Amino acid sequence: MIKLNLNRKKKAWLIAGVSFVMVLGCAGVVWTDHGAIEEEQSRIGKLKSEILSADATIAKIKTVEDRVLSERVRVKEYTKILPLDKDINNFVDRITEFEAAAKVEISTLDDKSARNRNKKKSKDAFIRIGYKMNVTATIGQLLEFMHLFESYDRFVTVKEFNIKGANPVELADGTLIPARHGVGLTLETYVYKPTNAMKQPVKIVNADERMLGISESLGLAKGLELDAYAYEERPNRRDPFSNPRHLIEEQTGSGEGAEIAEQEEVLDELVTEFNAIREQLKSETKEEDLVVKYELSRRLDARLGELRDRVTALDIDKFFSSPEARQRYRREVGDPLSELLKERLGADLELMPLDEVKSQYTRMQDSFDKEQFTDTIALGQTLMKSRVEGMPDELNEAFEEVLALIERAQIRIDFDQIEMVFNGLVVPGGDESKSIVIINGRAYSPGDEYAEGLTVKEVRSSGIRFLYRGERITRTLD
Amino acid sequence: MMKINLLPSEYRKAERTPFIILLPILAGLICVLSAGAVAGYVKFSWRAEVEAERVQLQGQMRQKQPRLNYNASLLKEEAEYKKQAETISKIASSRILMTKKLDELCNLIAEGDAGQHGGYMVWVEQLKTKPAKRKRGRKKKGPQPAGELSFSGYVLANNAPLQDFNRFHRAIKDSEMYREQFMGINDPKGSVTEFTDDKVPTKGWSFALSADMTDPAEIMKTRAKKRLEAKKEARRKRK
Repeated sequence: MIKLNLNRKKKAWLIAGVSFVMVLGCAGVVWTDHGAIEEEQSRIGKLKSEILSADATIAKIKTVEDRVLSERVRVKEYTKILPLDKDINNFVDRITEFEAAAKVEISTLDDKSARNRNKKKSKDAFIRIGYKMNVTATIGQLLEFMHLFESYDRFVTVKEFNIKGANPVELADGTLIPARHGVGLTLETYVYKPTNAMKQPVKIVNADERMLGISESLGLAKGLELDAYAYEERPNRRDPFSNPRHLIEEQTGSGEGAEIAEQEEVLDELVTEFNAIREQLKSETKEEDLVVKYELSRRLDARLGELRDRVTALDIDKFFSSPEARQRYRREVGDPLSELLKERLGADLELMPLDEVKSQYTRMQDSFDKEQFTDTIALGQTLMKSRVEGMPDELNEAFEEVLALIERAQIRIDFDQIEMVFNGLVVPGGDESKSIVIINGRAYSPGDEYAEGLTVKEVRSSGIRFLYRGERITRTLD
Repeated sequence: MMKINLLPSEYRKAERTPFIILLPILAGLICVLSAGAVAGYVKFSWRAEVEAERVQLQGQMRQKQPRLNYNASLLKEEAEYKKQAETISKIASSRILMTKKLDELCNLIAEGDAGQHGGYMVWVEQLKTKPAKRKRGRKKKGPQPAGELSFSGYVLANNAPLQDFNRFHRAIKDSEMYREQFMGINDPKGSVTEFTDDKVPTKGWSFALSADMTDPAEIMKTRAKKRLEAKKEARRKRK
């Protein structure tokens, strides 16, 4: 054992030094532990915030579930527009059906992409499938063929097409076979292949029942709306892909009009007459004698009136069937006469053909029947812009009908604005003829006036019939 | 004077620890004990307590983990479905109605036959459509064309076929079809051809036109906007 031979003072210093070192050691331990504690506390803080956020997340799980279910419903409905894999197998049959329906002739069909669709390993849920074909068809047949695909209940698009015009073929007996053009057509569709995630969806409690509720409440189950075109066949329209040039002696046109020679003769007469009137108009401007000027003006108005009546009659009869005659007529008589009359008499001769007015009226009637009254009015107002003074009686009557339908549509719109809550129906003793309807808490019998101009006409369990400003309107109780 | 203690050591008076030594010993002892106590408290009480709390919270977090995992898979599935719904919406809205384009072009040509738009007679030799190429890299600003429709042929006339062609070109640009479905058309150019056979018309202006097709999604947007405006207008009129 080492024995230190130290004096008191040195011993005291030694003790103090040892104590200091020991205290320092303790301080070191405290310092280390404090560091560890701080670290733990920061972890605790983080954990607490994680737990808080986890609680918040867990509290929202039901909402997330609902969202996922909504998305499932949406995708399920959306994918309905795409062909299923089995439809693709039968799609060539569909093409054949459409070929027969449109009377086109398919010379080649390349469906390689459809056949190889399962060979490609793709992560995408939608596989693009293309069909390339060469077709011979008249322009009408081609339009019909493409329209069949574009209006097919599964999504098919005409990706691209090209037409090489051909000319009609004349048989030995003189029969003319309409031109069948060479068409290259590429169709495209998509097949939905659910990804693995879609194949094994997350299990949600009562998913099926909840999906039903969600789709009803959110109205998601209506699917995607595809833009569509209402194609109407126009058999009398000239095929612009056929050469319209013809030998001078050939008759052109749809056959509705007179012979070409007669058309040209009449046209020459009209042009001569119109040019003569124009010359006279120049003299009228130069004439200084008021009496002579008045007489000249009166005679010119009469001649212009006669010319206008003649032109109107020719328009209605579709006299000019030859394209050249029609064009010349419009250029040299129709348009300038209309301009002149507008200037001179303030009237527009741009008469709408009766058939067109009737066809527009049918469209109005359709929208009226579908209760699209705003559309009815819009259509009617556009049509009424074509009404001019001095129209033939037939056209005037047609426009009167248009006006009446506009008024009816307006009445229906006004009727819809009237606040009306049906509270119930009372059928005393089962006799429907004595029925009473309760509207907005008040009872009304047939013949009672509900509002100004609005009378209850008939009360039946199937519906209430009102008479509103001369229009009979039926409303069901639901 | 020097003092000598001759008593045996057991009889001698015990020597006290000198104060100069005792004081540092006591002070050092107090300091060391206090420091030891503090260190002991920190290590065995405070730190242990904090560690226990952390372990407890970790346990709580572990319990919540399955629900969190469930939520994460729900979110993943939602994102996947959203992506698919968006893709299919894009597919559906990208369909160009070619029937409409071709039919309306035929109508416009027929209107020229009937003398409308000043009259013109068009013979189309070729027509083709080309979908827009998907370009990689940065997208250009504004709506992009969905493809191109080009057609070539003749505008026929006995005199001045260029005038008729100009009328046809103007008729296209003024038409509802062009305004709604096309973004632009190339300027008129071509040359006159005089036919040497016995047929009429005797001249033709050969042309090649190409028009950029508007993206169908844009067409639908414009239509929806127009419908909304019409409704507003109708409502305003009713008021």
